Amino acid sequence: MSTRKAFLAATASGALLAAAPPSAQPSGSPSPSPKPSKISGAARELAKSMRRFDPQLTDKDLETIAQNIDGNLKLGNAIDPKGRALKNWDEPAATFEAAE
Amino acid sequence: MTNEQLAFSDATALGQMIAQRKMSSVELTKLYLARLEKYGHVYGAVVTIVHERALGEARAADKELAAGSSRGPLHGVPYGVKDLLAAAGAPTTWGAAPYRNQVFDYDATVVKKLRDAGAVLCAKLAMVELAGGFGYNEADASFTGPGRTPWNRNFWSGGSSSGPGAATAAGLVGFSIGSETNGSIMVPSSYCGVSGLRPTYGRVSRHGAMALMWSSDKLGPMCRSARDAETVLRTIAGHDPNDKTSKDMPFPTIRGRRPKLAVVKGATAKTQPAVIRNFEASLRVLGEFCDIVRDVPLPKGDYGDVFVAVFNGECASAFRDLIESGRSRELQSPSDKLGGYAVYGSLAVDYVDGMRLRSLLNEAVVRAMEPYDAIVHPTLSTVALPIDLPFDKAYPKYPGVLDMGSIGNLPGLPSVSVPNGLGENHLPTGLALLGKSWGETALTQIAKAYQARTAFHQQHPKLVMA
Repeated sequence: MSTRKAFLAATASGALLAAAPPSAQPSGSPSPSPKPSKISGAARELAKSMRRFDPQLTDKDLETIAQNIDGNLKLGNAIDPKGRALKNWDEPAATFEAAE
Repeated sequence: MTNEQLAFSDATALGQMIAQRKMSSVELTKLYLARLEKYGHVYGAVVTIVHERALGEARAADKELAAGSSRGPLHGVPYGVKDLLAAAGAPTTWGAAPYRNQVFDYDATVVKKLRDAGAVLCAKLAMVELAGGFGYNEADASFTGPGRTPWNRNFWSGGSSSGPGAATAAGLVGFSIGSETNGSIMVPSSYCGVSGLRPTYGRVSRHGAMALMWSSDKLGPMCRSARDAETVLRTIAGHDPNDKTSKDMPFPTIRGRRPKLAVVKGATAKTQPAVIRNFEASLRVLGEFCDIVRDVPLPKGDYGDVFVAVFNGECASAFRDLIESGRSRELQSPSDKLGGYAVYGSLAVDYVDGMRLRSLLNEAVVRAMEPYDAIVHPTLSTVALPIDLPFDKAYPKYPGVLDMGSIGNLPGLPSVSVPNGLGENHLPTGLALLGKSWGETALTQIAKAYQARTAFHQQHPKLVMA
């Protein structure tokens, strides 16, 4: 889980389920326990690359960053599982307009 | 009237007293400057007090009144702004150590509009560093230390507009300006027991404000009454050529019928008992003049995840220079020191997909809200979080179920939070109304009628010294 998501869970929304994606139609069933997650190699490599910005990042820092990046990388699948939620023609909330 | 009573009066009353020459703006400004000095740091509410500017603006306001000229209801009224708004010549720190010496040579549009309305800027108020952009998990997430609610300084004043919440509740300013991307006006309004208004996206210019998430950043008033919030909003609203998203739009009200409110399914699930009790009592009051429909379903959707997907992309871009400089390590919160790297590592495709899903969710929410003037809900599922615990450890039994923050902020809808009683540890609870785009005055209309029947907004904390 990304730290941003954890933050929303605890404060800003004040109501987000911490362990499961929020549903606006709550089922009333208990939240599933978070499964122990294995950090992907891609997340670890990306985290390691952050040392170019701060060479003082420790191995423990990189582990934390990798965990959070991993959460973000899984976000795509969480919001659009197997690409089923979006059709090819669904446009973003902000659309481009020709410059005048 | 004692100085204490004066300090806790709402801005509308203060403006009337100044207009009637019962006191001068300079006298009132000196009172607030002294209170800011005395209590500002006790509650972690202040970054910079702008004495000279305040007294200069107050003298000018008095001079104009003496000449028979008034600029309106806020003429001569002292206020403070969250320290993400530029004020010429004063530090604008964004709550973060890497920016503690940042100074702009111009006023943010909101500050300029308030100056033009005769209001008196007294202080730059504390905030969570970078408005919480890097995922903080504790109250001590600002280079000025944690914001503390004036109701009990062992508890957080909320974020990220921690200073505006605390300063307004403690009577250190006449009113204040906060900002919200997802919760930053509503949370401190609830934790501090003030009347906060998150405007519709585009109602208020953000020129001169720190950007966190361009497609969700809003500026709005935090006040001691709903009538103040409406007055301040009308003053700062409107199109600004420096902010392309800002618009001139009317302020429609509800006329000739009872307002229709929805209580959505799950509104009080996993919520502290006192919060539920106060909410039910509020519904009884609202029922005197509104029609209320319960158990209204909202469209299913992963609002929080979609919000995060969009947020990551915009936040990483807004703070790319800070992240790439390696200076995140100067931030206060341990989570923030590393959190920037995580948003930096998010995927562009997830951002775009987030924006595409946002479009679908927004349409569904607007459709679901169509029959109602507002959705009414507890602002938050708990009272203020304790200062000394990580957020996720504070009230694990009461996480709530609905994510009203993301549900309202993804489509850019307005919301009002007003105090509706006290809960655990004698801390305030909040009642929120989520409205339709450009429907802020319908919300303040309902909130004003609620406050005409209750006195929670007139209750004030007893201040202490550290």
